[in-house]
Amino acid sequence: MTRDRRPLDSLDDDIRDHIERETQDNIDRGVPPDEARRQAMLTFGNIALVMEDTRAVWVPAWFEQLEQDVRYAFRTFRRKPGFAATVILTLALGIGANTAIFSVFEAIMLRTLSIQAPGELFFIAHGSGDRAAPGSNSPYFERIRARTDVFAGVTTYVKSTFKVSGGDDLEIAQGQFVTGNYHAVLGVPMILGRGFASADDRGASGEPVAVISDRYWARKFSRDPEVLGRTVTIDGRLTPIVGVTAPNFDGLDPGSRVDVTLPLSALDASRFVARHDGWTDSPIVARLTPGITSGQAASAVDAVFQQFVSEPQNVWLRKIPGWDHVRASLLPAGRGTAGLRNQYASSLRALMAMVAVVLLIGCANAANVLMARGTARAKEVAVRMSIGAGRRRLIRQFLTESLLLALIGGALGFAFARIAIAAIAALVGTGPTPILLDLQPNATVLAFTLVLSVLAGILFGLAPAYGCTRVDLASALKGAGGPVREAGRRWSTRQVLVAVQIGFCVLLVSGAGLLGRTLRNLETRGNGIDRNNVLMFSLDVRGTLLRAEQLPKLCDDLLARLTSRADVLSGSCSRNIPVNSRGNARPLDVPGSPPQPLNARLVFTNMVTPEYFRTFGIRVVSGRVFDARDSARAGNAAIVNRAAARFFFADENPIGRTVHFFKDESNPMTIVGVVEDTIQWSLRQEPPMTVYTPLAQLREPESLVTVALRTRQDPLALASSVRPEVRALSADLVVDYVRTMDQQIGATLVRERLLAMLSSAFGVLALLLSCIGLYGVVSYDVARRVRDLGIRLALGAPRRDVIRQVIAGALTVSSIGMLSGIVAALAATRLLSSLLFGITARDPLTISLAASLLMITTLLASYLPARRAASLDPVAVLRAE
Amino acid sequence: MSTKRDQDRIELLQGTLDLLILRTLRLGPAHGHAVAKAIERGSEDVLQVEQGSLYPALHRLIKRGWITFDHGTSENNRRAKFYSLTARGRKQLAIETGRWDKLARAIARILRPAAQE
Repeated sequence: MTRDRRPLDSLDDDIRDHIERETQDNIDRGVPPDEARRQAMLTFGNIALVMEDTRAVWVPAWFEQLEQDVRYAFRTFRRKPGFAATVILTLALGIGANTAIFSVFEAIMLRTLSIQAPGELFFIAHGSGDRAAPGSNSPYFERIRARTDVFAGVTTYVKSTFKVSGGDDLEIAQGQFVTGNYHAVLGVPMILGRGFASADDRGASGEPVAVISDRYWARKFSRDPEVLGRTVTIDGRLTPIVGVTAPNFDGLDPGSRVDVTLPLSALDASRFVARHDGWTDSPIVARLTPGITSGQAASAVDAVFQQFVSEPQNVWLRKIPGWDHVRASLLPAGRGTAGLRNQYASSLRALMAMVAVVLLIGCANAANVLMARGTARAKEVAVRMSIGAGRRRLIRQFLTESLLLALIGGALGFAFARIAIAAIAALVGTGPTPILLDLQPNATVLAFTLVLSVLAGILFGLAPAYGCTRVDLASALKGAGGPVREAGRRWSTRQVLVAVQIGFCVLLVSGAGLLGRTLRNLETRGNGIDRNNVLMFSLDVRGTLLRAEQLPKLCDDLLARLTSRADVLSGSCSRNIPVNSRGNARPLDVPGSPPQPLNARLVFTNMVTPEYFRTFGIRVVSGRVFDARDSARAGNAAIVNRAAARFFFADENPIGRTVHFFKDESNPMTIVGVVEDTIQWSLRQEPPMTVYTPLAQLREPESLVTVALRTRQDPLALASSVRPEVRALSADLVVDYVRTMDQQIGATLVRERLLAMLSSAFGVLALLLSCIGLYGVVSYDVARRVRDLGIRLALGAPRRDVIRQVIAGALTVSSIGMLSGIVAALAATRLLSSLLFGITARDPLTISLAASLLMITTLLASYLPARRAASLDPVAVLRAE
Repeated sequence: MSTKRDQDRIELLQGTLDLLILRTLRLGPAHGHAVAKAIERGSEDVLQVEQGSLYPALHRLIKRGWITFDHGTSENNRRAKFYSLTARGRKQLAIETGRWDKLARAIARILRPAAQE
């Protein structure tokens, strides 16, 4: 029925019927049948035109032409599949690379949290300009929470790990403590049960309840729909589960996950600083009251803050270095905290620039191929123009073709991107400290790919479209081949394109070289330790010890057990480990030395068991390491590293000197030894001044220590026996984060490895594409000069002269490109400066290596066509004329 | 492509074809050929409709919702589209007729003095 209602259906029948009626009328008037029909046709007019006009009422003319063009384009592709495949593949690689990097860029830099109206959420930040960072303490939080005039809701969270036991396995879950209104303020979607209510966050009165994440629900409970009401033991307390959050919600810190959420009241009060003498990095998150601007809210918040820090009990906050004129401000919280973004921003920008260059190289290739095709199609173009096709119409036809190629290439590129994304996800999402990213394709990425494909299609299609429709009709129709021969023009457009490609290639390859060498520099950096054969694991002793003094005893027992194994050489326990520790820094006082500002006296502190230095392979410079003399009851001993010895004692011997931590005069320490400097914060930073004290003299409770073992052979072989050994000692201890020192260092270099890996992949891709481009241009050049070369050979020119001439031509083109590339590289690699280590962005060696690589590529790409030129048969060539 | 038969036939003014079609269909549904014939006959063969130009016009009117069509079987047992006026088309016809009368009067006022001289 609906089909019948389409007015255009059977239009030709309508017209035929019309003409037959008219013919019949004419016959009835006495006209002979043949003449009757002729007159009827005449009266009707041009049937084709009528049909076109009628159709145009419904279908715009451009659409119909588009349909024609598309059909025509597909016919063209089928006739020359090799040409279409080359262009499509080239573009697919370029667009695929862009899509892959953009997917990561989108996930890290652009993605907003999957919560309700994320744009209304703000962090309260303190500090000036870029350095403003969220932070809080409990009384301050209450003041902000009281500003219900500007905020519809205020919440905070404290990140934590939980010891979760279900059945007989104990494990560490990632989690957070939150205020009772957390889920309501953020508008966290729940797939099961409920979020917290304020009643859940009421001090010690009730038992705590837990909300778990979708991922944790799937992993621990296999998505059991009956999970609500089940209880789990979290940090030793039976806790019922009341809700499951929707997938894709992982708290406010992108990249990390939240398995379990507990109300803040379940948190030991000392950890969310309740007293007036602390400040934590737990962010305050606030949702604006409708109608209030962020500016109004910011001034309200700053008023609260200024009042707060002016009160006598909080005045100390102003004494924090850099905090004397601090203001409170609002930071948009819609994308979560900025940690991961700050860490990856410059890397991702560099990668986006690189893939853009790869795509430009790809476009140049595609343009080149299309132009070569255009030459072959000159006759077709000439024929179409001579029967009245307008040049605009032909340009549109060419552009339709290039857009189609780009869209097909884009679709294929999208598939390629999935492969690349899987590789990237494997790199960042595994290992001991995985970054959690949702890299599933989404609408934003899809739109990006589509827009990019269209832009690429126009970019590489425009020049050939104009070039190829500029034909000399007469000569083209005569079959003299080719568009207007570019007599007198030294450089063809195609040669310029290849030179540009080579230039971009130099840029990419030298960038890749710099990043690769940065990774190598960091990996091989001397860090003061022997990184081989060290196995480490974290030991969570929360809730298992009654008093702080028990921890050293536990460590001794555990180490005695572990080091009795034949495959363990030595073992240690410590609060921190080298290379990548969170560590605390405290100012050190050295009585009798010249006064120094507090900031300059900051030392990194670590508490270690005696075998720490042997286990990590840290050289002892002078004095001794800790031993049985440094027991809990003995006088306090300390070991300093060389940097600290140099700073505090210059040329004097530090051994035997007495020092104490700032404001801790009652606990003087005697320096007993000096050890080699070790890197502590990150591989990019210099070793800090360090003071070691014996773990045996621990005075404050500690919930987490790292156990390190130096093994005889492959440390990973031991990894599986660690848990049973610990379990045998105590069933309550949880072993977490088992890794070797090599893995630990690898984990700190994930970003660098990602950059090096991707940039070299893009470099190779660029080389390959340029090689193809160069080969195409040289081959075309040889084909065009066949007659010329034939005459030369006939006149007796040696073949190697011909080879030399062809290669020299290619080298000229690529040298020009290379020079401009080097200039661009010198200017652009400065963008990379912040990412480099141990090498400057203008490193001459790297840039010249890149240039040499391009030179070799040029030789390779031009050799085959040159050989072909030299093996021409002059007689055959001349006869063909 | 006009038929050069009669010198005294007048080519149709732009846009007036729509009005004529609407007027013709007011008498009842008709197929394309009948509409063309009706216009020619109604004007005593003075107005010359290039019959083909009827079709884009018919489709334009369908698109605007002024006329509609049905499939019917004509006297010689052929399937053909029968076009008919819609309620909106009827209203439009009134408007267009009014507009045409105004235009015709205006043109006549301008031309009459010139004709008297």
